[in-house]
Order: sequence, then structure tokens, then C-alpha cells
Amino acid sequence: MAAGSFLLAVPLMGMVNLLAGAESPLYAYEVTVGGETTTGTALSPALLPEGATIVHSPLFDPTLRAYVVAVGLLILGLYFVYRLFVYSPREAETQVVAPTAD
Amino acid sequence: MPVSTTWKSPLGELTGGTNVYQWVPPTPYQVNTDVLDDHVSLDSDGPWAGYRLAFTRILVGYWLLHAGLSKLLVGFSVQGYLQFASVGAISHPVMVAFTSGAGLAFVNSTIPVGEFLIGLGLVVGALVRLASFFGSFLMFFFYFTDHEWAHGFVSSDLVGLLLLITIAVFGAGRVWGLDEWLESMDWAKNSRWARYLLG
Repeated sequence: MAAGSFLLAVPLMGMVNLLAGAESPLYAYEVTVGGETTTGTALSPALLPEGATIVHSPLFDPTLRAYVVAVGLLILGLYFVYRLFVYSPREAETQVVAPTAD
Repeated sequence: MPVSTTWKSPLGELTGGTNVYQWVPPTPYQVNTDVLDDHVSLDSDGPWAGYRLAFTRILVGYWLLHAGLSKLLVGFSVQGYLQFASVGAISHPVMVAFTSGAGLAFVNSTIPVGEFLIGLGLVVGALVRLASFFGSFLMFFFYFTDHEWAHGFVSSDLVGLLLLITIAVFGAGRVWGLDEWLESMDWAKNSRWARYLLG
């Protein structure tokens, strides 16, 4: 599940984004100050500099993709903690069952 | 009486006497380890899998060692970066807690020291799994705080995270590393936790 989440967010969404014409996973903008135009990228429209106009929006919001990657990595981390402290296949195999009175 | 001499190297053995030499290729190397009590092995016809693993471990270790050492020697404060550059990142609400007071002091001391120790551990091959775990922890936060995704979601922090996981899974400390010697000790053989920290 962790790998699936990871693969969904990074290569799958990334490729769809690229094929949809996005140059970057982030929001591309242009801002003109004193007759000089500069370009840049931002994580969300709220972080654009004043007076900037969005040139291209990605198909998938980068923050959404970041959350999906984070969920995948957190699931992996939780599974690691589970195997470390809760479940050990080796100990489960070597458990001794008490003999019955039959 | 002919004198036979043998030169041993990672590329094999050269055995020779008077005007007659024979090259014996190195014995196959097998990665054979346990990851959280699951057996993991990687066979190869030659030692190249092991060498590649050791090379990756040393390179990633040097990357972190250099980053930590340069911060320790030059001085380091992450306050401005966490307060302003990480705005908009999904980790920003958590990072804000570390922009002042004890949180800032904690981060300013642990990042350089942590990078240095993790890098050192990986380079010498000691406590590799422990070092890889904490390195992955650091890379996780770097990846989501840096958000250098203008050219794609796969950045150096993500690749570093994946390399550290690979190093931990395959027990790279056992190839040209101190963990091979540490694991031969009795206390390590009898300890479950030693298997998790060494390798």
C-alpha cells in the first residue's frame, strides 16, 4: 500500500501531468516589475508574489501529491514500527504450544 | 624448487611461479541478511553486487558526512529557512514549532551533529542500519520542507531516502564495513536488537 501510494503520487501523477502539457509540477507564474518580466514557480496560488499571473497550472495540485507521498512513507514507517515491536515471524514460528492432557 | 606466490585482491587471486601465472576470479558474493526477521538474499555470479552496495554506502555516507561537517565548521542556523522558505510546504505547521526557543536550539544542534554521525557510520560501515534509519528520518523532513519540486517530484532528498532504505535492507555494512566484525561477536549473535542496528 505504501509503495502504491508512492508510485501513484510520483510517476503516475507526474507522467499524466507532463502529458497534459505541464512544464513543472508547481504553478508557473510571470511577474513584471519595472518593465522587466521574471518567471518562477510556486507551490500554491496563495504563495505567488504580488502582481504575478499564473502562466500554467499543474493538473494535480502539488500539495495533494505531497500528501499522498507522505502517507505512503508514513505507512511504511508504521509498518516498520509494527514489525520492530509487535510482530516477529521468527518468534511466531518458534512459539512452543503447551501439550494437552489427552 | 619452484616458488609459488599468491597475490590476493578484490578482483581475484594471481597465483604464479616461475614464468607461469594463473588468475583465479573472486568467489561469488551473496548478500544474505534478515530484515525485521524476514530473510533477504541477493545472489550474484561475482562480487559486484557487494562492491556496488559498499560503494553506494560510502558515497551516501560521504554526502551526509560532508554536509554535517561543513555545518559544524562554518556554523549553522535553520531559523530563517524554516520560518520563510518552508512556507506552503505540508511540513510547515510542524516546522514552525522549531523556529524559536528550545525547538530551534534542538534542531540547530541535531542536524549538523546527526548528519556528521550518520555519515561517519555509513562511511566506516558501523551501525549501518541505525544510521540509515536516522538518515531516512532526516531525508523525510528535508524532502517535504525543501519542496524543490520545480523539475519534478524526484529530488536529491527523495533519492537519498531511497538509497538509505536500500542500504539498510541489504545490510551494506557487512561489505568492507565494521559491522561484519561487530556481528561476529557473541553479544551480537545472541541479540535480536543487534540484528536491527547492525548490518
